[in-house]
Amino acid sequence: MKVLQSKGVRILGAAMLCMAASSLFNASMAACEHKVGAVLSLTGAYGAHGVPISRAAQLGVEQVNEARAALGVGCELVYDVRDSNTQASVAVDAARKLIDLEGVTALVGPISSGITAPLLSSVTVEKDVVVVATASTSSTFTNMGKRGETKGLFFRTLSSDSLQAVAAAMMAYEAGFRKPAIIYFNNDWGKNNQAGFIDAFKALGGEIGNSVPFNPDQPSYRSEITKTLEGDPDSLYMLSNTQDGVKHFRDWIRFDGPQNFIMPQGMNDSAFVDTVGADLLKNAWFISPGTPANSSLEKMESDFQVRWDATPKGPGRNSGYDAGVLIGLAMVTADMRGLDTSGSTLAKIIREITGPDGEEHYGGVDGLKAAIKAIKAGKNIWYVGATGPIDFDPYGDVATPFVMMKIKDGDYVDVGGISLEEVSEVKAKVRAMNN
Amino acid sequence: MIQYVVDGLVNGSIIALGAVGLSITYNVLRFANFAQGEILAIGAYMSMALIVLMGVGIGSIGPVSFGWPLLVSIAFSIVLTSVTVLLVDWMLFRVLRRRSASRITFIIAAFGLSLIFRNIITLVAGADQMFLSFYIPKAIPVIGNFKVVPDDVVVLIITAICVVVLHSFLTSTTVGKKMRAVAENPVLAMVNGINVKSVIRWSWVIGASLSAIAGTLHAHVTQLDPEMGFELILPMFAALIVGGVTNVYGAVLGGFLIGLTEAFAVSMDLSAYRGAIAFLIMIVVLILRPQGILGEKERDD
Repeated sequence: MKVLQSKGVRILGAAMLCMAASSLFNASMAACEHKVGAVLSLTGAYGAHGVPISRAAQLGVEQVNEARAALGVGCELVYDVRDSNTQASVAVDAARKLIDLEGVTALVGPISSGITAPLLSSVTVEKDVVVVATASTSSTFTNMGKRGETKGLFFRTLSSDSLQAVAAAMMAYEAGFRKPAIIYFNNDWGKNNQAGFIDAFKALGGEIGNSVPFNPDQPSYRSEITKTLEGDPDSLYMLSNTQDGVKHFRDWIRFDGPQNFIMPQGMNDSAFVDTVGADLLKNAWFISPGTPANSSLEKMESDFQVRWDATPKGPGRNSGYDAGVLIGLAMVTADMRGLDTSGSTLAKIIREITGPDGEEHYGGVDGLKAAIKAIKAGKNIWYVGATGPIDFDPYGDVATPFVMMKIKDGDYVDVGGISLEEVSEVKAKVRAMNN
Repeated sequence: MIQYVVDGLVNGSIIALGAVGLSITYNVLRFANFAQGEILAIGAYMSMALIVLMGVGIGSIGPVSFGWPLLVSIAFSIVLTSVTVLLVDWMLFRVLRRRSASRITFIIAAFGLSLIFRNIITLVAGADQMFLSFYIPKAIPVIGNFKVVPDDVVVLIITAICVVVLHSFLTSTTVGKKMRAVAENPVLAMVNGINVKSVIRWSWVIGASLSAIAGTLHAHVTQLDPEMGFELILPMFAALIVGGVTNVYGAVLGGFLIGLTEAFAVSMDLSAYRGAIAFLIMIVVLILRPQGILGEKERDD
């Protein structure tokens, strides 16, 4: 009995030792790992957009990690995504868990501006976590930045609506539309975008039909469409999500609305084109942040195709990729310099590795290797991403030119560009009109 | 304005048919069936499956963009949806009844069932939206700016026929009378030799049949997606409560009222609050007439 007991104790002791050793081993591994968090709409109203955006962000993080590992610098980078179900409450909860339990200090941000706003105001800024949003274009964040509410911890890789709405209005006018009606998502993004569009379109000399808000996930939108059709508009500006947008579109056609459409960046999704059919989209004009083709974009698109066996074309892929890369590069840089990876440190580095006074570096594993080498050598770099050369203003906004696209033979075709100077001119007109 | 009335009536008729199913399960089985929306979705997807299998499209009759293939598929969908619901009753609710589970247990079970149904639909058919037909029927101008889609008129006619058939079923057939008896007082009905089990089966079948029709019509005038049932369940409950939980016709009236209220809200530039206004009406009704417009005071049991 005694022998057995002591044997038992010994076995137990050995087992405990093993466990302790393995946990120590784990701990030493874990000490050099950074999690790049993400809170994205993988399901819900923006679920169709969220999955590819998350994949693009993951690709960005993975490529930085591969480049880093090849050079033997910095800590392992791990991408950890949580679903927001396109609901603010779920997103806030998910972000809290990532920050408090997983120790995340940087997040690839939500898609919907309506979710990003509560995320910033109730969690991330207070917890010193940097957020790089992928598709939140509301001008709310610029205003929050101006009021100092984001503490410089917010960036976005897609330009704000204050520019995009103006560009969309210019495109509509260029298309020859003179009285568009608007249906808009009843959230931060929809409200701000339609307001910007209306001001700019009026400044250009056009008229606006009814501007009708809609709530997502309703069984039917026929009354909303009846409302937009009042007063004989000549076109429809669809500030919808693709899921509900299909219902809006089909009811507009059903009630004989003119087949002239103006589409914001969020609707420029090949799934939408396939669902409603290219035939009805012959005179649909799409606005998109213009990315003059560069090696980052080409590389990202081909790598995305290989990594996920899915199309890299669609809204938010390029901005998602850049968000992942920027956070990843900032973490590696912090490691190389022996700094902490707190949100404010990362934010500071993100500003350093972007902006026109550095040496240009591109995406893709090889491009990122070169970038990390340059940073290690103490050089100042400028990350030229899949969205183009990134240059953040003090509020974390980027400014990109725009391209206008139409559908030809089932594919998007560029039909012209709108430069930032042209957008500013119209914005000046709006200001003059309002004063 | 008249355009909004038609919009409201068409939406209302789908809500009404679904709410009748809710009303029947509530009165005969005595629980709020949160899976009713998904039963409607299943009805729609069954029709979709049959249309795909038949492979002849949905046909057309005159100006109406659907013909016999859609009607045939609705008929099959009624059968298949009823079988599905009976199977679920046998597997789930029968067991709960035998164990004399509380109402709350039934409601939670129904809620779980709705999640299972929704996920099965996503698994089998995918999360993307589908259409019974890609063709979009055009509205025909009637007077001035008022336009009508011929299909909508047929939707209203089918709803009216359903209500008339349901009425004569409940008032003239033995099964219908037994159902009303069980709804009125299950114990007394049993004492009088009414087979409660068969009545329960009939209630499921009628609820499922109306849901299959409503689901298919809704899919035809809008689209199919796995969330369609979930999107309809709240307006259906609102309709049931406004019209009166204990009265099947109350559910129909409530359905149209909710549909019309939402349409009027949009017409008055209140589209952002359209759901809220429907529920506001519900609250007002609950304050003024807690049993609903056509409902009777519920007895304690």
